[in-house]
Amino acid sequence: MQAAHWAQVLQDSGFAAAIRGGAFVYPFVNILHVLAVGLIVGSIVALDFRVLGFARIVSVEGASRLLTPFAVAGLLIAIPSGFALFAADAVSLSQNKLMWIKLALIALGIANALLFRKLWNPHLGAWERHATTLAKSQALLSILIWLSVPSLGRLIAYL
Amino acid sequence: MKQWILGLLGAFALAGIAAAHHGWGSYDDKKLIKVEGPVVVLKYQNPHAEIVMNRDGKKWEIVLAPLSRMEARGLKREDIEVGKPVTVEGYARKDGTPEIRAERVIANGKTVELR
Repeated sequence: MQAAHWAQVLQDSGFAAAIRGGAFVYPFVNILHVLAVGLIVGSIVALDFRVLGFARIVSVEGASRLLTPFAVAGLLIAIPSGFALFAADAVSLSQNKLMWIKLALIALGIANALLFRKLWNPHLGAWERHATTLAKSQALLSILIWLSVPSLGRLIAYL
Repeated sequence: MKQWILGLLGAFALAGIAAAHHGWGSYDDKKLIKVEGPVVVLKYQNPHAEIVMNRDGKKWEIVLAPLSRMEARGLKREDIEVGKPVTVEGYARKDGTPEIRAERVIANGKTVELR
């Protein structure tokens, strides 16, 4: 496969060279990325399980208030750190199928979360009366997506 | 409902483990290959340093290790230079791409394990 021009430009940039250059920049960014991914998956999956009906002692609204900021913070760290790791090796990563499946799943996961907010935010206060099959399906889909995303991310190194 | 969900997630986790057991899996570790000669291209970079060497009239890309690991094991940046001879022992890619993952490198009189 021919390297896409944009990937070559990104990889040749000073930014990408700085990421892969020193002995410690890349591992540091990698650690940030992994911590952020942990934050995202941990918080989102916990909230999804609550939406599905686990741990009813905690209100859905309370769980959402606690966990959503962690998920958002995780995304805000994971996206730029992920971009930096991608830039360092852009040509080869842009040719990796798993990379694109992973990015598509991230977009789907974010869209799913936004749609969930739009549809159900007004009903979180009295959730058990409003928990619909659609909402629960979205939570289950969310769990599958957010477990797949880091799995694919890890597998990129082995393909 | 809860049992069904947990069962589904369990199956998912097992599928993940089954797919992820490779480390050096893309390379044929049954056949150790030795390459000797001058370094043609040096990419001193993360996540893995890479060099290019000539072998059997072909250019082979040789994947070394993360920079911090090489330095921790005593292989310094100045030990590998373009034009300077090195010896690499490693494994070729199974899919036929001229690429070798280095098990060890002998440079500047030092033998350094890279795995």
